Amino acid sequence: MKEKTISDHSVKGRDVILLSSWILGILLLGLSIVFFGEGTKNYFLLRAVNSYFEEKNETLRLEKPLPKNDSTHRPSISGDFFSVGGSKDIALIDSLMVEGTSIAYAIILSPQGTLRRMIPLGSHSVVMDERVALQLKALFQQRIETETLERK
Amino acid sequence: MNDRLHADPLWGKYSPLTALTGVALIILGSSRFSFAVTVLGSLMWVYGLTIVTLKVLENLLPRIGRNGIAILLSSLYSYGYYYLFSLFSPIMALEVAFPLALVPITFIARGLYRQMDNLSLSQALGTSLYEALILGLLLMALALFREPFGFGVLTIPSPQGTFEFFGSDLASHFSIRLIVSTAGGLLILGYLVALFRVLRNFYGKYLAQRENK
Repeated sequence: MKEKTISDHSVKGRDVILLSSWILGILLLGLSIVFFGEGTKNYFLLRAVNSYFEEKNETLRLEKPLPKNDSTHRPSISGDFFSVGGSKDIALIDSLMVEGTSIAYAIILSPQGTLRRMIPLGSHSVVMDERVALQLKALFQQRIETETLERK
Repeated sequence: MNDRLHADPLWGKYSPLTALTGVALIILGSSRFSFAVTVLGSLMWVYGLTIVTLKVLENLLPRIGRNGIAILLSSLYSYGYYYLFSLFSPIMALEVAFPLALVPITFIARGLYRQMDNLSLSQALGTSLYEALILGLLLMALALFREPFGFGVLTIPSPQGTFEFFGSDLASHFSIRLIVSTAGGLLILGYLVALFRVLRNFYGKYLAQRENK
């Protein structure tokens, strides 16, 4: 009887160790993709957005990615931040969910955090942008600017 | 106990809420053909890799918390696919991020990994890929209807985002916006489910007749 109890304990212990190893291993792998892959992902995004701007004869150009923790005037929403070439403005590349589909935007913010422009990226986003109600856009703009003010 | 549970109209296998597994993915992933193609890739990737990993490392799986491991593993592979896709088409990755995030949820809700215990690696892989393919093809079939009628175009994934390879201004002008919205997707899905039930009924009768002969 006593032996059985010890054996049960050892099996449980092995299971707990295995489970912890699995969870730790998966989390470490995931975090390393996020941590080490962020730079490459931002570089490809910057290149794609600039090439889109070029195609659309837009004068704006993204310069370089901005680190997420360096956020003097930036909203705390998701998305990637970039500096804008030739100005002190900041570009936020993010998507807005409307009618069940996401619309990708380049959101140009002034150094004070005021929203200057929202440029839809790609043909899908351009079509969907025309269908977005103005009130919804105003709400999105308000949200970005409010969060910016709260962080100041 | 299990039979009683499965037959229950509320908690059973065919209850309205159980049957809703995957609806969100079907609705959101079929608004554009390019989205459906991307989601099909993700389904094959997540279903295939998760099942292979769980089968190969079967001896290292604990007897407790297997669901948790499957959830984490499928989410990891799903993020890996999203990451690779964002290198291929960064702008489109932003647009399709939400349907892609639903892939591991669909995988877990289906509970496929729990039925793989008695199968060999190749059998398990074949079954999971077949199931992913069926769901992906269903998405593509819906998208082939929704996108041309809702947007007046047909798109495929490209490094510049969604690439329109078929369509015209006239078709776009006369497109029915409701079809590509979530509400329109649900309406179409309702009709599709009704058609599916009729066909399923016919198929059932055909099988019964064949057995009698």
